[in-house]
Amino acid sequence: MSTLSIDWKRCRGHGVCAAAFGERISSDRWGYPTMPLTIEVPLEQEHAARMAVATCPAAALRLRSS
Amino acid sequence: MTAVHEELIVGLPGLTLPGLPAAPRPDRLLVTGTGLLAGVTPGVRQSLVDHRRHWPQTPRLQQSQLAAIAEGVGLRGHGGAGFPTAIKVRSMVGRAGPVVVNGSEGEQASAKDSVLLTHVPHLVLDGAEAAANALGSGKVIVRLTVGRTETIRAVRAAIGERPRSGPRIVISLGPDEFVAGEATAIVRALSGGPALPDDLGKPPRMRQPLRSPRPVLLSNVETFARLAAAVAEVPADTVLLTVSGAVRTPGVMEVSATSTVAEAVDCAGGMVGRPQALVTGGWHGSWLPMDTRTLFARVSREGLAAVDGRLGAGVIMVLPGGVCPVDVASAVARELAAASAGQCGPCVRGLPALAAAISGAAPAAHVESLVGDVSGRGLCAHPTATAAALQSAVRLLGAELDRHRAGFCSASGGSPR
Repeated sequence: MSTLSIDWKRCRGHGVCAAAFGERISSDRWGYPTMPLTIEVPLEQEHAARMAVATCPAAALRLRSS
Repeated sequence: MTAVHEELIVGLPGLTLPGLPAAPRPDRLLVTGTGLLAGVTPGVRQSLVDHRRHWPQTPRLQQSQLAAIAEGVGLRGHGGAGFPTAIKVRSMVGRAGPVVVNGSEGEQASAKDSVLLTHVPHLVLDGAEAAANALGSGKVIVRLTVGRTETIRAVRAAIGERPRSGPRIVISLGPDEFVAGEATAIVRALSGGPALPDDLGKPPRMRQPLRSPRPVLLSNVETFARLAAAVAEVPADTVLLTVSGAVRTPGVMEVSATSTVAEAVDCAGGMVGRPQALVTGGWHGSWLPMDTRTLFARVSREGLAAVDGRLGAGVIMVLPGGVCPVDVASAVARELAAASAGQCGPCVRGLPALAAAISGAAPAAHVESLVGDVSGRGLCAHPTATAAALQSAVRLLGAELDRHRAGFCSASGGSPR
C-alpha cells in the first residue's frame, strides 16, 4: 500500500493525473483532480500512481509507501 | 411627516448591497447571563480582583483529567466547526507547543468572542492557563485581529494583572481577513508563514519552529471560557449568540440553551418590518424560513440542527423583508468568493462560478452540480462551508429564483436587478 497525496497549493488543474491514473482520479469541469487530500493506493495501482506523480507539470502529487 | 421612526435602516454585518449599507460588527452586549457573563456590567471589563470573586483559581490538572472534564460537559469548539475539545486535548503528544486562544473572529456577523475578551478576559485566560498547565506548555498565545483596538486593549490590560507564576501569555495579531482566523492559517502564521490555510490535517496541528515541530492546542475564545467554567465545576448551560440584521437592537447575548430563536430575537429588541428568512451560524451557516418551526427551535447546537440550522459561531441574522433575498444571497456568494485565500483551484474557480449562478438565477441543478464540484476540496473548510451555505440559500429561495429566471422579482415588484 502507498499513499498518494495532493498539494492544493501547487495544483493548477492541468488534468494530467486523471489521464495517467484514471482508475482513481478524474477531472472536474476546470481540470482539477477529484480526489481527497490523500488516497490509499494498492500495489496493483502503484505503477499508474507513480506515472501521475512523475508527469504532473506542477509537481503537486506525492506518493509515500505506507 | 409620518412614522419616520419605523424606517429603521437595518444593514447586514459585512455585507454591502445597493440601498443597504453594511452594518457594523454587532459587538454590543445586550443581555448578560447566568453562565460565562454572570455578574458582568455591559461595557466594563472585569478586573482580576472582580473575576476572582466569581471564579476560583483553576486547579492544576493532568492532561487526562482535563480531557475527562471537557468530555464530561460535552465541550465542543465554539468557532464554528464544533470539534470535540476532549479529542483535541488527548491528541497532544510529546513536548507541547503553545496553547493558542483563537480570538480572530473573522466572521463579520459574530462578536461574541470580542465581547468575552472585553468583559471577562480572565475567564478566557483561566481556561487557556489550565490547558497550558495540563499539557506542560509554558506559553499561551492570544491571537487577535489587527485594528480591533478595544479587544486588544482589554486583553493587554488583563495580561498585565495576572500573576507572573503562570505560563507566559502573549498577544499575536493577524490580518483582518475571513480565512486568516482558520486554525491551520494561524498555526502557519505562528510558524513564520503567511496567515493562510495549510495542509495540517486534524489536531494535533504542529507549529514548526526550526526543526522541532510541536503540537499546538488551538481553540476558540468561547471554548477556553467554557473550559474554565467546566474546570471550576460551574454549570454554564448557556449559549452565546450574536443577533443582527432586521432587529431593533443588534448585539451579543448569553441565553439559556433552552431558549428559542424567537426569544433570542426578542432579546435583540424584536424584528423590524416583515422578515422572510434568517441565517443561522454565520455567513458560512444555514438559511431558514421565518416560520414557526424556525422560531420555536431551541438555540442550542442540537436545537438548531433539528430544523436544519447551524449554531456555528452562534450567529442569528434576520434578513430584512424589503430586500430581495436573491440579491442578498448573490452578495454573500461574492463576498465569500472574494474571501478565498486563493490557494486551491476548486475554491478559486468554483466560488465565483457559484456566485454567478445565483445572481443569474441559474437552474437549481446547475447550482447543485457546482456545489458538488466545490464541496470537500482544497486545504480548508472555506469552499465546503460556503457551498453548504449557498445550497441552503438556493433551496430556501427556489420559488423566488424561478420567478427571477422568468424576469420577475417579488421584492421590487418588477424585473430583477
